[in-house]
Amino acid sequence: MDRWRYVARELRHRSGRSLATAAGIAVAVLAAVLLAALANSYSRALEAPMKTVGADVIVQLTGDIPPKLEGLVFPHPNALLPAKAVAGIRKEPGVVSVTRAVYLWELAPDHYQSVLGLEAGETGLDGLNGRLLQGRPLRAGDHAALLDSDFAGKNGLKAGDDIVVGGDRLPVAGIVDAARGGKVVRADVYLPLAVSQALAAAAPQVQALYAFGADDANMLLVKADRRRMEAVVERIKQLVGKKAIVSSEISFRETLESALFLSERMGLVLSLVVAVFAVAFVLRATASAVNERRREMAVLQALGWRWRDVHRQVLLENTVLALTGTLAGLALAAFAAWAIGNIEVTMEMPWDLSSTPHFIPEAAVDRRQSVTVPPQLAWQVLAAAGLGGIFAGAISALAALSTRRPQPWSLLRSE
Amino acid sequence: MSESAIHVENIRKRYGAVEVLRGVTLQVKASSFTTVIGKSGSGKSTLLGMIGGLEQPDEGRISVLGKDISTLSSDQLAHLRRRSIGIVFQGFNLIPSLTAIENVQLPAAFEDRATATHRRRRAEALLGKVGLADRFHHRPAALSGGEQQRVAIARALINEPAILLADEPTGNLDEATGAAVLDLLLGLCRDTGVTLVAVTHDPDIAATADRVIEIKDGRYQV
Repeated sequence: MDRWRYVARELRHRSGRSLATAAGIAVAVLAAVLLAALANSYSRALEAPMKTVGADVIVQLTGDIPPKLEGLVFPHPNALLPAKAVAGIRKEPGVVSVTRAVYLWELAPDHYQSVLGLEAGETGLDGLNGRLLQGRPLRAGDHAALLDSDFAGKNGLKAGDDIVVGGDRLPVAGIVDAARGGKVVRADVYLPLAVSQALAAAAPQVQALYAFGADDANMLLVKADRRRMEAVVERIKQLVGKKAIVSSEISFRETLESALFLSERMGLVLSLVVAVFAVAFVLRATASAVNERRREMAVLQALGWRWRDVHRQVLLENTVLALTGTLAGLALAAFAAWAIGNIEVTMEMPWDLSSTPHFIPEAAVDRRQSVTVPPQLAWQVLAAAGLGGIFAGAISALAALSTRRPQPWSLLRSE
Repeated sequence: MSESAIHVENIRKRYGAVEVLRGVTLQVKASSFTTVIGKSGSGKSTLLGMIGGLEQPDEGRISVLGKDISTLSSDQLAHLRRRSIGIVFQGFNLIPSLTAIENVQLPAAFEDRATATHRRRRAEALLGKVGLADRFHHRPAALSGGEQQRVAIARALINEPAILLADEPTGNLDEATGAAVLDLLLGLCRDTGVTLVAVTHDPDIAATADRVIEIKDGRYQV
């Protein structure tokens, strides 16, 4: 009779206890893996907008409220960016490219539209043209516009129609799906930079606050080396000054800090709590099992088994149970993740990245963004939970044996 | 063979305030049948446990097959038990999860002198000798007390020990079954030249022994 057969016979003989121990480990592994997966999904959902804000860094400057909220205005808070600061940012180490933009709101008693003028480039017109649904791409020298598909749909506009911006009638070159475009700040109407600059230079409510020239901008879309992101952001803040609004993955993370903290830390904490309870349960179950078998262990010693042979036998039995529980827990976690499907997280975008004036009633709704992500079982979590489960089983056996070494003859003698 | 298989020299054992063995000295000849008798609590089972290396004397020396076992480590004692000492208990002490043949093979699990096939064949032969050829795959719960003790005897003999220690081997059996089990035990030991030391209350068993050792007040009474 070999050791493995003895292991199998023992586990089957004490099937209730074996099942309870394996189930304890399975539940712990399931809970730890699933909680980690859900927390990870939530974090990924929260981080998703950071990847679609339009550029690695968006630079604006806090401005003043125009005397009248009518016609073309700079969005609040937004001001003219000093040309010196723009030139300085271009030269910063870690800055890959800078796309200048003019961002405007056009306000009328019965409607509003957001207008974004962009230079050519990956984070500018080129990125936008990549999301063309109909019509033709917009070139830097055009006197035309691209419309966001939602805006075009709402207003019944299509490529070839005209749109009036700041009193200037522009042909609609095409319709873009900017919401999923990923690499541009979203607006209702997109223009070549020169057209938007001319409109801003001629806008009374802009000129009332700023001496906006034909080559100025009020927004920069910066593509940066992600490894140097923190340094780039810090340097941009220094160059633009105290009133700088620098939106990036970092600022977004700061805004969502509490939610991210909850999702990341609470997942970990809950996983640990479950794991601690499970280990306590397995420890208790193993200690009881070893206690029940003290006489059997004494018999084995009387038959010539060394204590370490007895030790190994119990360790092997518990490890088999732990392995079974762990595999069952991992399988259940995978099934549960599949059964849960996608996780949808709805969050509000920061004001400075919103394309909608905050005093418009629909603004709050427009600022909401829903992100859907599937629960992801990270291999690191699976490995940690797997090893943790097996370790819990083994350590329980060792702990139980260290306190339960029997004095064999006292258990076997007749008198 | 007339040499001493077991030599006990002036051993003492105390449990708390009670000194159960007070300087016992004795020798057991090889291939003999010796019974140890005495009242309950007289220390006879303690003496047997010490000979088997499962209990340590507070003082004195025990030699088994020429080896001073008080100098052996727990691993060396386990090796000695596995190779040279078989033990039969009053309560049978079979492993409930294993079948009769698996129980018999248990002491041979770490025995490298024989192959698994050889061990199995020897277990089958021993179970045949004790009259359980048709009970190989029965678990202890499916066997009577007498059958369980016969499995325990086969288990004690699997590694061909030189010494067999029996602690009240018929104590849990009815008279007829006990007599049959004792006959079997004696027959097997005599056939193979095994030294048998049995602790018993039963005067009938004592009467069949080559030598009777009585422990009284912690001492060996001649």
